[in-house]
Amino acid sequence: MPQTLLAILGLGLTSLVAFNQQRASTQSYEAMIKNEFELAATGALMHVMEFIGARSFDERATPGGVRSANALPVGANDFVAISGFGAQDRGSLGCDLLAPRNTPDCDDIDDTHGINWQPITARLSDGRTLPFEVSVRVDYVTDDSLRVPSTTPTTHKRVVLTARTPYLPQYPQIAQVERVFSYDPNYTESSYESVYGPILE
Amino acid sequence: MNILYDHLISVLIGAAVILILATTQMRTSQASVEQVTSYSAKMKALSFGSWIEDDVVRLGQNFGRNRYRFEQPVVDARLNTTNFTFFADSIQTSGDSLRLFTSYRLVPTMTVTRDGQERQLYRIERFVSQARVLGGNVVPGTQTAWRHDGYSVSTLSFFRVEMLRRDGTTTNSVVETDYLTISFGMVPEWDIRAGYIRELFWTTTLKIRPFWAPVQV
Repeated sequence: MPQTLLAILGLGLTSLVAFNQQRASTQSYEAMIKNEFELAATGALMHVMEFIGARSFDERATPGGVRSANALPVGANDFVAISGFGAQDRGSLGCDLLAPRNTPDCDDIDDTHGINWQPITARLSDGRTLPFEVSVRVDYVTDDSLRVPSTTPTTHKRVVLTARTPYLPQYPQIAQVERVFSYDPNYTESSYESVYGPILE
Repeated sequence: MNILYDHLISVLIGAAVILILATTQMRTSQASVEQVTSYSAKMKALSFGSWIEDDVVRLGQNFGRNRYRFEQPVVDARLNTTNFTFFADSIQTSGDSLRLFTSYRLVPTMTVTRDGQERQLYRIERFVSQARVLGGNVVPGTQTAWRHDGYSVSTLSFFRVEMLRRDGTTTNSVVETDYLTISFGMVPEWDIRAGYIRELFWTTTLKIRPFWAPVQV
């Protein structure tokens, strides 16, 4: 009888070791998959970020905004308040994060604020794709640190992009990138001139 | 024989324990190999990505308003970019310019079978050349022969360079290009399991020079 009990105990302990190994192996495998998604998501977010940065700094700095005011913005007071961020002037089509041409009214950086888990696709080879969902947050940040949010307009906007994937629903986010864009009068002027011709002094 | 029959249960349990421990050991080894190969592939992908970013940031350097700073990428039937050549000028102490040519060439290497489908793997090789520049143009006869500069990455599953306008649409025109999207897939050096390959996907989109001459959205 004691031998049987010892044998059962030995078998139980061995099963426990096997179970723990299996669990560690599964966790490690999941971490590797997440790693691969992170790498792909970061690249997709970089693409989105570049095309957010390709838009004008503010509605007032768009070619149309400059034309309406008949002058380039001269400082932070010319820019829209935080309450004007988001859907206020991005039009009914919303914002196409990969191809701005499809949503011409989403023409400045803060128009993308508040986009919540918009689907985007990263293209692989042979027609394969990876789906991601992206959220966008835009803040004014102070001149000093470029990290502290400001409640009043400044000449710097921080864009924070967060991605998740439906393939890994257990992770609320798998990648996040942020960048600060600063107002550039030369860029604003050349954008205006590419549409309306030279600004007459 | 009697001894075996007397201890039949012990023998069975001992065999089960040995079997479980052997399987556990085998799986642990396999998981370790998988972790190492995955990690090395990721490091290789990040290093190659960083090398591409360095090159793209320098693309068109000292070219001023000249927007012909790379040649249209050559694409094969699988939409891989097989040749991508770009330029940057280096201003020398004398004030003369030297045009630095860089070329990525995609070389097919081996095929692997995955899910019953054959997949081609590639190697990227980086070649460089240089030529004297006078008045913004290359002086004929001064371009050196292309030479392999040592940079090379293998086990790519695809490599693609796309040209984009500022509005995110693709273009085939070099002079209309404001952004380049470069993507590649990287597979580990070693097979992990038969008929199965891991693949890391890397992509970046970068604004290229001239930075200050945007076109209309």
